[in-house]
Amino acid sequence: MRQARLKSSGHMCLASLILILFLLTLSPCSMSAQEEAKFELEERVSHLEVPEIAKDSLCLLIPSTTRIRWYKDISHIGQTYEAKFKHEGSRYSVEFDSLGHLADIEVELSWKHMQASEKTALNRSFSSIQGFKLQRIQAQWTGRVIDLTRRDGSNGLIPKAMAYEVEFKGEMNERFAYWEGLFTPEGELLDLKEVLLKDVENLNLN
Amino acid sequence: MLILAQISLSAQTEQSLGLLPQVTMSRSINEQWSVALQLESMQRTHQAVEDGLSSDYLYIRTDITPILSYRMSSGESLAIGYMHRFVNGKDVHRTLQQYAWVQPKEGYRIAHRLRSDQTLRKGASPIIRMRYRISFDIPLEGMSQNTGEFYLVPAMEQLIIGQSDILDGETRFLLRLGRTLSVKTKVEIGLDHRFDGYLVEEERHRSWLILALFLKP
Repeated sequence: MRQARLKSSGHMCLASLILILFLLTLSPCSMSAQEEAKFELEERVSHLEVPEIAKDSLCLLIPSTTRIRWYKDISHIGQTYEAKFKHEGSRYSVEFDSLGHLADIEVELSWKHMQASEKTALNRSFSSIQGFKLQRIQAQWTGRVIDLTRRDGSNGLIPKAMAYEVEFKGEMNERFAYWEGLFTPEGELLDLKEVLLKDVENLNLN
Repeated sequence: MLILAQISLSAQTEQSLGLLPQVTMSRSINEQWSVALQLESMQRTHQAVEDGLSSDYLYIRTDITPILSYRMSSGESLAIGYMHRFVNGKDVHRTLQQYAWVQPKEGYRIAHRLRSDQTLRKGASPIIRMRYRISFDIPLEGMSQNTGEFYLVPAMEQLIIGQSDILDGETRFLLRLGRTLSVKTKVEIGLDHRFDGYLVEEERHRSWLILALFLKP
């Protein structure tokens, strides 16, 4: 029994030694520059912390909104505020800069429920992407609050989206992967970036 | 509670409870390659007897596993690893290969893992296992995981185990509650219930309390 205990403590010492050796091999230069550069942090904040101008703009653009959750996003680019809420059955995400000026509005869409005219132009682009599979689509509005507010006297967001942010799986740039593309309502691709699925160690390794 | 009830109901098959602390450290070498080191220790604390549970401590094993991963695309990765197991004076060696893919969904992620491993131990025939695991990564606050927030990972894994001409199966159910402490640290607590021996009529039910730490030093 005593011998078994001695052996197991010896094994623990060996395991600790291997662990220390592993840590020593992790020199700072092995840190990926990109990993360092893509610093992003999102934290929940109280509405009291959000600039008044952001809250006023939100009331004007999407009136009678309740249960708003505010987040502060801190990244290597700077700091922004984001309001997330559900309105008339759709998920909204409204982003403001650090001073409370509107950056963009994104509304989650259901492809099934989109109008045929909206789908036709986008479909033309999607069909040219090999292995295309839609994951998520959001309507996007950018610009000044005054330009995005309805002109008919009633407050509210203008109905026509300015762009569509589309998450999809497919082959782009000779790579089959998950992508996030920004398309105009006419179907023109404005911006494309690969979606990096981060923090999967707890799903893949243990 | 269900597992405890199940254990107290039947002491016919081998049933036990224990601890399974884990530490996983990972580091990116570049955009494609990353390395990880996992430490895991298994200790039994209770065993089922006829009239319930009996406290019965037993140190079972400690594993140390370095893993090298290659990211094929945003959601897919290949990995190879070697595990060294310390079991009461006997060394066990295991090689592993895996293909894993993650599917982002609206508000959660689905992770699939196909793994094969080969276990070598002096004086015993090699053990070959084929495994498939499906996990769901569900943020409990908002649509994605953020610092300071909790998440839930339910998972199920099926193993087919072959040794010489004997074939067995093992089924695992896992439920872990996690919290992202920082961009480089996550902690999880949960239950890992393992049911095996059902193809060789030597059923075992083992439940482990998982305490896991994920670090990116």
